[in-house]
Amino acid sequence: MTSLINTPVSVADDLDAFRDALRHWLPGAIPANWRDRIRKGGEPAYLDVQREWYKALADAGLATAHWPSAWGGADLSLDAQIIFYSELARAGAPMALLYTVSLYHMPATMFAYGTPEQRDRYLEGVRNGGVVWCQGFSEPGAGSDLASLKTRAERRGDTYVVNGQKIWSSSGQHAEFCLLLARTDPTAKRKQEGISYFICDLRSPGVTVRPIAQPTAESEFNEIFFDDVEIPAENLIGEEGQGWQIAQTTLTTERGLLIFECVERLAQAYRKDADDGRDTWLRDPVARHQFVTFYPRIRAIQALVAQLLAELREDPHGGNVTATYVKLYWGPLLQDYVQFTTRAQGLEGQRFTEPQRCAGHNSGDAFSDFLWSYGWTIAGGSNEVMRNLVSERFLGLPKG
Amino acid sequence: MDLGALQDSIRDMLTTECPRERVVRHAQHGNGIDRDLWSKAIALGWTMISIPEENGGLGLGTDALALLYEEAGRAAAPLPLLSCLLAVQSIVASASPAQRDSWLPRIAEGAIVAMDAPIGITSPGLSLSRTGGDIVLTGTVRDLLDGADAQLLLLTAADAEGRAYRIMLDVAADDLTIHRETLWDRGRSLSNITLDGLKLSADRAWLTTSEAEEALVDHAAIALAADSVGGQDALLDLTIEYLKTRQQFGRPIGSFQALKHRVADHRTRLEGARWLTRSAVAAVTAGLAHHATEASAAKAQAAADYIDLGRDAIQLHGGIGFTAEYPCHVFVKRAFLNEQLFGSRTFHLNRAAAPALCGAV
Repeated sequence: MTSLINTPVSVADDLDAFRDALRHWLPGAIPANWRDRIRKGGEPAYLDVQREWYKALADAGLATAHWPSAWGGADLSLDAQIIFYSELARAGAPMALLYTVSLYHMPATMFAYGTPEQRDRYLEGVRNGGVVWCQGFSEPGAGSDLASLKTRAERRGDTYVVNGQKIWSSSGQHAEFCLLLARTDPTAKRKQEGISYFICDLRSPGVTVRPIAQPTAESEFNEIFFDDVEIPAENLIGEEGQGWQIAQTTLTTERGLLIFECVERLAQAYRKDADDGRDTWLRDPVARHQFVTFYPRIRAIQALVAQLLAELREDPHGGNVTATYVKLYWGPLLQDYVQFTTRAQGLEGQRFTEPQRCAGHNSGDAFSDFLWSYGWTIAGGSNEVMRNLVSERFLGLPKG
Repeated sequence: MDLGALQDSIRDMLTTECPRERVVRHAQHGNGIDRDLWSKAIALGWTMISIPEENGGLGLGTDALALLYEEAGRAAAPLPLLSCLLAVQSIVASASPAQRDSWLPRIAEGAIVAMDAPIGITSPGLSLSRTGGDIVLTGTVRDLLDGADAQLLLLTAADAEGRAYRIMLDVAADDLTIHRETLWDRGRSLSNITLDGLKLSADRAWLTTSEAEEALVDHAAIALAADSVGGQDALLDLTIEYLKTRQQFGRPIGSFQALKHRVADHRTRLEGARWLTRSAVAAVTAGLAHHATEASAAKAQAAADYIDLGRDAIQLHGGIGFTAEYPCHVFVKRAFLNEQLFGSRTFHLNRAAAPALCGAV
């Protein structure tokens, strides 16, 4: 086991000391010139940076510090995690995008529903091996209406045989494993019933992963095809038919810290944009006025996220209502902001630059940031689905 | 003091004494503040909240006042709370002990004080000179909120050396005539006052500081943000209730996505404004470094969100929203005035974003 002495984690109980230690540690730990390397070196360089960064975090015990100590984590408190992400944003560290599912969605699912054998094997794989996971939830015919998914898993003896297609799996082309939702009982009365939750080894015969060419000139998302893929029965998570319920646990992991990190990075970007534009586009009084209108909105989303984190501090499974408002405030705000920065730069903002991955919505190419903002207005519940949720569940308006 | 209990008691009083029908009637037939309602507020000691304990008050801070403003906004109550409580703050911050003892009890007893906007939003409209032991005031003060309803005026003046003062004028004793400028929002009014060599005892004046005036800007910004949050809460509830009950095409109109999605967006923005305002209240109460940017951000955002909701609330109500008997218009008019009072949207946006634009953060 790696010694944690003299690393930030070893002083995490003292929040001020933890912050100081992170500020001391981060400059040497962040992969050098990572922005340039990725811009010039494309996908292979991106993967190198992600792996280096993950190794640095893992060696310092920080990658999985938010996990329970029983599973190799450090029981890092929510307040310490908040500091961690603030400091990452402040230091301009790359986001560990390749490992989001490995570090959050998979373990959250395992802690709640995994068997001891599953936990031992898969948590350890992430913690010490940096194994990459992806999600296999959405389908071409099941986006906002996820519960209508059709991918079929049929039990045959000790295995399930899977046929169907998944889509929008981030990092699927680099992942070893997939969190897979598939229908085990097509005769169930409600569409939410009859869905089961599996661990699928993507190296299994019959699996085809195909990257989707995106308007951003990248391929973060993938289609995954399943053609008579055999999954051992021991890879079922929870009970057969419990998949929908378990998926809620997986998806609620996205609340809180992941959005906090993005919001903090936007607040950083606002200050940087103010600096960058001072002698150029901010001299235009119209652009300047529009720019200042974003200040209160960014402070408002920060205040809303702070409230969400306060609720999660009280109850790690709470905050449902506030999390919904956070998402519906954040997506449109981000999209408005990056649309504004793109347009404020005039023709300069139309020049294509090679993709800058894992920089948050602060890549240096505003149009790329604009395109990526759809990741918050479509994925994880589109704006329109969130508006149905707010108006029907929270405000009591009748269903259409 | 349990602030939650304080807020409940304020809300209970306004629910009983300032129901919607009263506010709607006032909007049609009244002009300026509702004097009977003000008497009841005074009887309950609402102006005592921030008066220091040594002057017989509760000595509570911005966090308590914000609750009062939020509830007044929820009821769209025609009360001069902001004018009077700003005056209390100015007196406590800058006046001499003797001046405190003269004026604070009068405010506690119900005298309405009108305040001109703090220095920083505008420059003093009055010039102050001295003759013997007296001061002489000349000039014009524009757009004095609640001036026509006030018994006292707390105005700013500058002397020849550029020192800034606050001066207390007594409308009756100083024989002032004040004309009311009627606003679309009939719960408040403005006045212009011209003084031509008005001679007053020097003890009516005290020096003010830019810090004290800046703190008044924060106070006004938070008050108007909280009023806007309370008003949005009430107006959104009113609108949602209407969408649930109004039937057209054989179903409640709230079942149409084109309508319910707008309501969801308004609610989401309200939550942002609510937590931003609370953050500003906390920053000002605790005297945190970013209090000014936070207060102005809250005012700019909450007032703009209130206007957008107000505009859409009439639309979502359809024809009934366009009647004087229905309360939508009262909130809409209050929303538009809130944005203009004590610093325009542009003023507060610039004040909020100034540190970011200067690279200071």
